[in-house]
Amino acid sequence: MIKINDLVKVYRTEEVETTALNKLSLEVKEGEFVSIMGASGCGKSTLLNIIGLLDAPNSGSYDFDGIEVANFNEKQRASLRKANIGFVFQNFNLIDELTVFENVELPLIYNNVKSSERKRRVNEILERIGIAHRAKHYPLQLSGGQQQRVAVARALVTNPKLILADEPTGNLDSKSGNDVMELLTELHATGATIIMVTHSSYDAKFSSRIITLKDGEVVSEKQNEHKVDLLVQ
Amino acid sequence: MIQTWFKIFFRNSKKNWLNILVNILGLTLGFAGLLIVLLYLNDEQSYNKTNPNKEDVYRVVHKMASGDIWSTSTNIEGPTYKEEIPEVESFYLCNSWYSDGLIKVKGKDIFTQGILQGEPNFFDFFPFDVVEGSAESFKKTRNNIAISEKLAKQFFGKESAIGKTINFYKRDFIITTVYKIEGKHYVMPKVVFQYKKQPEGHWGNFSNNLFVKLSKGTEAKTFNEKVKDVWHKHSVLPSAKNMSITPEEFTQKYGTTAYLEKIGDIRLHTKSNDAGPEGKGNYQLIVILISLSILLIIISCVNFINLSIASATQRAKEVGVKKTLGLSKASLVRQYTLEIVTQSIVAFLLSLILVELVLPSFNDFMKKDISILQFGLLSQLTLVAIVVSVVIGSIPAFYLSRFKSVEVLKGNISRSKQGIFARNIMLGLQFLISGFFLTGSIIINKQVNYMMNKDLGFNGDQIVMISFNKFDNRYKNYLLAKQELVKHPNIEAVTSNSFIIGGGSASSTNFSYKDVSIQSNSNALDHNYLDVMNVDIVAGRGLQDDIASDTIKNVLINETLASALGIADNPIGKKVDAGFGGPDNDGKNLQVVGVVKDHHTRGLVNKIPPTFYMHWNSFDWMRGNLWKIQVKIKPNNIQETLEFIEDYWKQNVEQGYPFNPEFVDKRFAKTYKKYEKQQTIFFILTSVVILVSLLGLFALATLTIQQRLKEVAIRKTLGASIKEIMYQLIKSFLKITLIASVILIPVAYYFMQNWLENFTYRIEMPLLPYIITPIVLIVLVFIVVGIKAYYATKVDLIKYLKFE
Repeated sequence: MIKINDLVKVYRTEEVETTALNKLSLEVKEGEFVSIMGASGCGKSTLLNIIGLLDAPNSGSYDFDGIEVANFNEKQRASLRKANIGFVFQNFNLIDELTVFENVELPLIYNNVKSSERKRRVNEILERIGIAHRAKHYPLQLSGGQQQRVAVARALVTNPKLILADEPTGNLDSKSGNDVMELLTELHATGATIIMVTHSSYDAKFSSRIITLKDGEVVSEKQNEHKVDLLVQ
Repeated sequence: MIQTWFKIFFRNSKKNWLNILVNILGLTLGFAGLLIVLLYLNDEQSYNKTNPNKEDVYRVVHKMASGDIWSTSTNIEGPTYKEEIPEVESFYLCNSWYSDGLIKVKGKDIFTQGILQGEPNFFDFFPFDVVEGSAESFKKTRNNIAISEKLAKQFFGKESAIGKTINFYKRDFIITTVYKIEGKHYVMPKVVFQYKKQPEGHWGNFSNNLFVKLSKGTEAKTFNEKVKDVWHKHSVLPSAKNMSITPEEFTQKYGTTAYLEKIGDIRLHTKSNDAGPEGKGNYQLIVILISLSILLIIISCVNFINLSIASATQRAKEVGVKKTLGLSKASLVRQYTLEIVTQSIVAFLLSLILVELVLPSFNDFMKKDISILQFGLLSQLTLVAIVVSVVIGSIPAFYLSRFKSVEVLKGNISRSKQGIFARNIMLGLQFLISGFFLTGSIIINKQVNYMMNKDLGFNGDQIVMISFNKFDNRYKNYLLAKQELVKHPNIEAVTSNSFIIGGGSASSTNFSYKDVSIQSNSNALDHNYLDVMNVDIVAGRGLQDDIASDTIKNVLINETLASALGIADNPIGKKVDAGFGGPDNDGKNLQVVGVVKDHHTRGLVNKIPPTFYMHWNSFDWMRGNLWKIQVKIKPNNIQETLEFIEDYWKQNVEQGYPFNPEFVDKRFAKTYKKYEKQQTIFFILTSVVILVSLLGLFALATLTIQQRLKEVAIRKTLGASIKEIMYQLIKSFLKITLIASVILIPVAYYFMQNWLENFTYRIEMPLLPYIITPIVLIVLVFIVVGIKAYYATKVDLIKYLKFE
């Protein structure tokens, strides 16, 4: 589903040039749950941004579901993004002024889904995530774990081909973090493709494959055996 | 430490130059507006402030039964008050206007203006500094005269003026007093001379200004009560008896109430139309201007604070670092206050420059001579500027210093919702004011254009009016000039009448047909007058040269008079009576031979008055009203033609007087000059207010959009298009604009309807301005907020998604 080859991303300021991704190559198949790990500044967030079509690489190729998108302009990236990718962020990034329902509804509005259809799908997803009773609340009235559930619901509501999670448990206590990871695992079990950036090797164990980056390059890849990991825990 | 402060300030300024510019510009306009208005107020308030009698001297004014307030008094009041009211120490009587004339000095005639005639005790009431001679010697005989130091220099150079004889109005005067006027006063004459004898009068003839000096500690109220009794005794009782009605009836119908105006209050607060020969101040305008400039300052301050807070969030990190390094909160507040004070000092200095640049035009416009160099006022304003800058400085400073260092270092800046409502109200108010001015400007424009383009019923193109100054032989001189001037190839016609276009009426009287009697203006004219002015005759004929009775009993009436008399259907041949007459013509049994089309002569503020027209020769005394002649000239070589007329006039008619030809069109335009001025003031205010409001909008847009960047980033990530994001950002501003536009309608309607009611001939309240204004406001909002919003859509997604 995702084929990346020789991807380069360089950040330039007036004096300094930083290479964030150095000829990085990577493949993610449909239905996989991949964790990306590495120390600060290794390029993992940059990689996620490029995969999520929030940013463009300087060179290299990026094949998303059979389409070459490395040279897409912003508008093209935006339209591909809204139809195919759902995001979950460390800091949730919910809009404080909108209710849970409205937050989740937002991507559907931007995808021109009809009002009645929107209502059905939002209610369905809130039900599924177990947050339906909070639909009329505002984000700041919820706990961190609940907020992240809302964010996951928002990421899922458009039935995206890919879910990107950027340190989804970073701002949560371990109990809530665990809940969110369970939720992602469940999604994976139902066939969703998930790429997650994380610092936590514990969280990474929920995924099917762990990729470790260093200085913008892939230094190791490891397949996980879920059952084993869960037993260890 | 201060060095570091300035370093950071200047480096920041480079980054935020637009904010700084907007800040300083708004504040500059605010300060400049306040300064100009204060200068104007100061000047207006300075009248009579240096008069040592300002607490004890009052002008007597009268409220008539009609409700009008007359600033003049009868000549008999002064002596009567003095005799019957013990609190009246003395009184002073003088003309209510300045005269001018040719003063003969050492055999030479010098045209002089600003001549005041009054009683001998002038200097008791207006104790100007006497630089030569004495105020006492002036009083000794009625032929003694006082002149200003400036005029003394003009007349006699370095020689002393005292004891010299000058001559005018067929009287010889001996100069006993030379005075210098400091400050501003009710009268500021160049020449003060005396009535030949104490003026006499009765209780009905209000002709002069009367001042009374009350003994110290007397209240004007006490006087008002006593004066009522005096009026009752001397005016009401005898007149009521004469007319065989009860005193109560008389009071109701013709009653006059006298009351006092303290001399220091007259200029700005008189209830009459007249505040002396130096003119009346426009207190209402001052109040409006002051409230507006204070509003302007408040708006600029709010804008300043909004923008400072907006840019402050960008500097939160600096605060965090400084706090971590151990800088105290107080020190931080001081730093930011200093930065903002620096900006407002710059704004203050700029406003001084701006005012200095604008003052000449302002002076010209307001007919003033105001200088910016008034140290008392400037130091006051400096104080205002300091207070303003400390206030607008400390609010953002406290906001900034409140940032918690740990959170800021982590990148969390709290989003304050405080005051958003207040800011929206402020913005709405700005829109409302801008909208009001915009609507007002359009309506004023329309009305002024209407007046300028209205068919006046006459054609004043290329017609020059020339004034007589001398009393003697005016009609004879006119007839001669008429004969001679038309010989010039570029002079088409010479004519004259008594009812000056753009001026008042020279005489009015009862005009009656059978038992209908109408107060009517009388206009004496030459045969060709209506032709030259292109005024139509709608029925009958004009007065003709070759019909003898046209100069005796035949008259014309205008349409208004015809309908008022009830003879509009068949006016020709009707016998009518004028209320006046003379030995040569009793004014009775006049015959209407023609009806003159109504035409505007007194300006569009006034209704066309009922008027009748007769020839100069119909009444001998009428020719005393001939003060101007009209000359129709060809459009080529105007300058040369005017010079020809001037030469003729100076050689054959009047020597030594200034020659002031005036085009009829221009003269008529004076009748709406006041409104053209309002048009200009409104235009300037509209521009400034809209500009400052746009700055405010810009500031608020900057602030709110910056606060919503995270939201923008989220929406964008979720797939919102640029259009959708911009709509989200502009929406709240549009709402405010629309609400303001709706509130605007009744407010503007009320005030503009009031204004339009000043005019007898006016446009109907137009609908268009109420549609144009919201559209203009919305377009401006779209432009200003739109630009900001568009930049917001270009936000760096990654940055705002990562950090809150």
